[in-house]
Amino acid sequence: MQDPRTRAEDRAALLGGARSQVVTLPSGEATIAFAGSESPRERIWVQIDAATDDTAAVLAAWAMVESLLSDRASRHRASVTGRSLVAVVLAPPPLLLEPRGGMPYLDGGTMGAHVPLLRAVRSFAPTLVVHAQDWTGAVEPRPGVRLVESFRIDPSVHAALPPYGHGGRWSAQRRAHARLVDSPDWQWGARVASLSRRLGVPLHAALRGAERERAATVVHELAPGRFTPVHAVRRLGGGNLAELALAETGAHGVTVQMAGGTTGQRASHAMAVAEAAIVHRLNLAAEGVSR
Amino acid sequence: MAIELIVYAAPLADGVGLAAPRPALDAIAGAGRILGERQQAVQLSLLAPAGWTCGDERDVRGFYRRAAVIATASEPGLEGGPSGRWHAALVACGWLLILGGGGSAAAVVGGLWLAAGYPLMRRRVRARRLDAVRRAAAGLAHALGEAPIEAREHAGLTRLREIAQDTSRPPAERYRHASAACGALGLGGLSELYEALGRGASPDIPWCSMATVEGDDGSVRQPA
Repeated sequence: MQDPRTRAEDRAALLGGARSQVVTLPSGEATIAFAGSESPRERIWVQIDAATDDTAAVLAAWAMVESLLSDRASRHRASVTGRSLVAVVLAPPPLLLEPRGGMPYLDGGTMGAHVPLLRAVRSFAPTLVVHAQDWTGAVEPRPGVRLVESFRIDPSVHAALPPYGHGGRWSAQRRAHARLVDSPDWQWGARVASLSRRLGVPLHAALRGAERERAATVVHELAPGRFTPVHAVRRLGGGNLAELALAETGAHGVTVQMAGGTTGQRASHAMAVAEAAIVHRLNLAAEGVSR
Repeated sequence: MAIELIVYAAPLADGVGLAAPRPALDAIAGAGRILGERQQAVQLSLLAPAGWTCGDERDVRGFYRRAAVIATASEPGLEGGPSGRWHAALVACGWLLILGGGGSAAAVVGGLWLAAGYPLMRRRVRARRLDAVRRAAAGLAHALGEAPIEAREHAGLTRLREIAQDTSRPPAERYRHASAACGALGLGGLSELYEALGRGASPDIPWCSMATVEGDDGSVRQPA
């Protein structure tokens, strides 16, 4: 898997005759595989990057492409490929990341936001971005997964949100939180988190102490394991790949940040969150689709 | 007078990358502090090798936004001091001093400080710092969306392009050579970029590759 020539041959075999696009990155060529309808209701961009060892990322990305392109019986494939166009990025081996400090809530596009990929995102014009980041090996592992959500929030509501929790009784923060909880985008994220947990993804517990205060600079804690950038950082628009996509194309995004655990677990977690995001975006869970 | 924010179009083995070394990040953070307090004109300056043009302005502006997020998020002042259980233990000590001080005025005053005064001051200081960080981000957001972008030639970067794209050597060796040359070319901040690339690592500063999409029109191809 680490030999670029072998990887290129395997990738060609995996894609078969499927539509694809190649972009050149500093560490090699990334292939973007497309699967689904040419007149889709949703355009979904799935990208999985790693800070050091990309085995889990490759396993997850290839499994996603295989599940979308194969002829095997699958519960959701017909609905997904019928209603959406899914772009899955098969990334080259990464340059080793050596961040100072812990896993950043907002990496500033350090992972997976090179200009050629951003141009591809721009031309694809996604409506949903799922970006998984595997930080294992680069930071002190805190086992588990956290979701950083990127979605439009009314600026007055966003500016008044509490850094964590529901806000004090009778406060503007409490009212802002209540308005946000009522919004469909917040509820989509809650359903994704809930299904991810049911699929075995260990989302982080609520933050406490110093970690909570550190996080408050850049993100709001929407719920345990769920975050969104603070209003000022959202206005900057460069927090991570999903924030860049939100600023440029208006796409709803979720960034899945993982560290620790085994390679298989991390691949499984990335796939589980991506599945949960797509299933709820297309409302397949409510339909009880069985194919 | 406009605040000038500089980033570099650093030559890479297969093209050009944008980079914001630590002095540039410090300048962006400093500009954020000023812009959080008052409006001022901003000029985005891109130092580049001779003959290079930035192409799509959105790519450059997006890079500035990324650098601004990193500069803002790494602002000092929100870390440090006891927190969590340590902070709770201090407050508990304060109450113990008040209740068990045995009538000593010094113990009661010390206890009041630990139990009430210190937590209140800490909360206000942190709120003020958090507010300053957020105002800086807001000031930068406004400025980066509007500010003009100007590309300027830098002779040092032109020389670095010759080194980085010298095909007689392997890329890692070119990057190591470029890293060593940065200081003498007046580009000491970029040394970290080339040193990391020479090791096969990703630099711990905001950077991105500008290499072109295969097929300039972003064309989609069928694999062989």
